[in-house]
Amino acid sequence: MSIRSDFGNYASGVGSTLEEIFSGAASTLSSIFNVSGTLIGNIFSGGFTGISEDGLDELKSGIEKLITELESHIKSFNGSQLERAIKGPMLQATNSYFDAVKEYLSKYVAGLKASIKDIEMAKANFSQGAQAAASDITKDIEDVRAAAQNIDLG
Amino acid sequence: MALNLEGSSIGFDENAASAAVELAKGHLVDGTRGILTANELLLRGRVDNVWVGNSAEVFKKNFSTDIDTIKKNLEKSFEIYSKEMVAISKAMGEIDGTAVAARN
Repeated sequence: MSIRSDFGNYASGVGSTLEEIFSGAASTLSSIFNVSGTLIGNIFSGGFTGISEDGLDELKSGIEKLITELESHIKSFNGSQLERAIKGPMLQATNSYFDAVKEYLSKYVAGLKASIKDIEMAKANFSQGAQAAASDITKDIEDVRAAAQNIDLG
Repeated sequence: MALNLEGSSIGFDENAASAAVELAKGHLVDGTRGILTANELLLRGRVDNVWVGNSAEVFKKNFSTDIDTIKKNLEKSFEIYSKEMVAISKAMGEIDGTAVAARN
């Protein structure tokens, strides 16, 4: 048996072992991140009762801050910065892991962005509600005035 | 005499692998956890200042549940990744030790 064929047998053996390692890790990571993905739901399931219009702005800016920081952090993920230090299967595993975490956190950021739309909708409803209430009050005052004018004072 | 078999190099560095794992832990897991924790505290403080009642409590609970879930899943995923790196290192070490030997 030549050196090359001898080595080839070892390489083939380790290749299948590595494939098993990769697929096992990928499957477990997928189950961790996919299951949790469905658990991250509507953070405003309790509605917006008890908050003012200015409070909605405060809430919105707080969530936007988190979005900005997470997006910046996700952009900084780069397993390839290790290319000089690690090669081959280790680099492949590292890049896969970084990509999986990046995708997972991106899903969370997408959920936070959807929640910003919920806040904006609540704010729009708040304004409409306030206008409707103001309109009702104006109408009530007019009714009272009309009723007062119709009172016969004898 | 140097023996060079094209395409047969499997050189690997266990120390570099450890550095990769440390980087992943520091950047992905600890770094993300730090951002989530700081912003959770900040947001809860803001909510306490501007929002009262049951809706506010439900929001705080939902928000914290999501943050905790993410932190736990990052920890779990890191365990999988670090075990994967150890397994790869072991597999590579086995072939390196078997295929490469000093001359008699």
